[in-house]
Amino acid sequence: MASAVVFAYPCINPFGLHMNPQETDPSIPVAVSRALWMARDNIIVSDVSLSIPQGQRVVILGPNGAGKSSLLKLMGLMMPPSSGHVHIFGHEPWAESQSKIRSVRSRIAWIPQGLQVVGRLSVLNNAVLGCLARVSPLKTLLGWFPEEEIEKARQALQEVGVESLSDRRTDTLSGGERQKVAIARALVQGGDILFADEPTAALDPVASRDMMQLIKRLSQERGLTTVTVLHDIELAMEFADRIVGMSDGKLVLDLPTSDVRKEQLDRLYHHLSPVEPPSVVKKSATAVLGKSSAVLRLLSGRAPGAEKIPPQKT
Amino acid sequence: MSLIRARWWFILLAYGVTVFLAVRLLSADGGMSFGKQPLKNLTRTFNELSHPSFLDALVQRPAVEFRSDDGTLLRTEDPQKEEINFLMGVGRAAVVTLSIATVGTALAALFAMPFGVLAAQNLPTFGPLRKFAQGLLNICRSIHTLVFGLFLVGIVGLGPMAGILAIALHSFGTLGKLLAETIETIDLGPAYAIRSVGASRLQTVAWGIVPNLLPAWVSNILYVWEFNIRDSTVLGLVGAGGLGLLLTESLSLFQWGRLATLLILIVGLVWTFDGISRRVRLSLH
Repeated sequence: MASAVVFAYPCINPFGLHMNPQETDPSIPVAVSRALWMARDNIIVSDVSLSIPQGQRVVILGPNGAGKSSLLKLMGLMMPPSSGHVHIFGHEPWAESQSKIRSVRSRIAWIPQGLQVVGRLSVLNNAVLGCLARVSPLKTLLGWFPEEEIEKARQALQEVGVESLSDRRTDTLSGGERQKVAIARALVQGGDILFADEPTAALDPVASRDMMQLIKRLSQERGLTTVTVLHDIELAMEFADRIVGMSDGKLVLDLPTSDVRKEQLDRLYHHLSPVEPPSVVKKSATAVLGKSSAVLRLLSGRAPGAEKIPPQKT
Repeated sequence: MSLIRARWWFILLAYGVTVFLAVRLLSADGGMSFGKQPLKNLTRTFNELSHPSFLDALVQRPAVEFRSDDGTLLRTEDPQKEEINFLMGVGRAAVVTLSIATVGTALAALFAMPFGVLAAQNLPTFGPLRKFAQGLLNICRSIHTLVFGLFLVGIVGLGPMAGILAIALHSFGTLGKLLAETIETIDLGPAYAIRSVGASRLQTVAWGIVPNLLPAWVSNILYVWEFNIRDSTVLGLVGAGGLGLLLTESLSLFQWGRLATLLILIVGLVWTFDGISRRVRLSLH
């Protein structure tokens, strides 16, 4: 089945086929086209196309299991799409070399879900790890970091407001403090893009607001393009320029914040399509074709005419 | 009604049946007998071992004279001096034994590190490479140090080198397996976060996995080291040098007092090392 994926939509594409000029525009930080991500036989992200211009603040909303985190991982080059393309500043790293992937990754600060800091290291050490892509690998293996990187880490800790904790071990901190350390690491990394996966998940309402204001301030000061996954509708409306809604792996909403109505977002969280009737393509294709549906499920939602197949009662 | 699930009763039953079958099998050809006079033999052994030879080194006693049949004096022996000489020999052997265990464990730890990482199930390693690492570790782990020692004495000759390599090979399997299992239990979230900043694979392991692994890794090495101190004392049995050589000597010459001295020393060594390693382990957390 893996060969079917490669055959149908090559993600490693040495000849540059299927690329359209708009996707490869180097001024666009993130452009995803027709991205599909499958874990075993389940479609997690299904045919998502999304282009994010420089400096925009995007919030992705959607119920649990909608594929938000997976989409963020695809955009952050943490995993290759099963099919489709991910372009970062006009490059398609998965079609190029491993070193290209790493160098482009270093331009994307990705704050993963769930306070991912190295517990046994000090706060300062955690923050300084953001510079790993820039410095000599051999020296860092011996624990040696350049003075200017350490200075940069101190500044980043000051910026997020945890500089007084810099010598503490990270596993002694509270949830909010750890999240700030993760942000400081992202600042040391100093990319042009910031992805944050539920940065407020472990925080109380007041701390959540502070956290989002911190991210907003930093993104304005540094001109970062940010994509944040959130669950708080009000916070999202306050923070974002643009709101993207996901449900069952598909983009079901993509509007500037000013055009979004709150009912649409409420509908989203009740697994109802906010803009169009819910799609039945995936289910019907599987039901009709039974065992041989694997390939068709790959194509679900985009095989020409697939939506015309009537849903069958099973 | 018992709230313990049926599966546990079944496991208990299966275990009981297994033990019962093993006993039946052994007793069929008389393997379960304690011999003719177990109690008498036990007391005799206790009596023989109850006078450790090092006590002789503490007291002055009249010299033993060895004469030929016609009464000419062949040589005189001062028991105290003899015992002191023996104890010095034991000291040297103990140092050799400790050194064998130390060098062997260090070698094992060095080689177990990459192989343990390769063998861990939850890291994205190239499949066949992982299988190879797992297989190698399993083979080394399942062959006993003593068996390795027998082979190696044939290959590199009598002496400490055979002991060092035997210990290194067996402990390599044990440590690699322990390391792989520790990696499988740790949270990989931080490692993915480190990878996302653009770090190389080696950097990701070094900064995302090793810090969380270090205490467990060090305590594993200490544990295996302690194990090896005990193991290396018997390695002398196959001619790999150290205390084991004196152990075989006193066993085959029926010098029970000296055997007792050696056993007390071995227990003392293992005990002391256990105390030290426990302190080190506690200070790691």
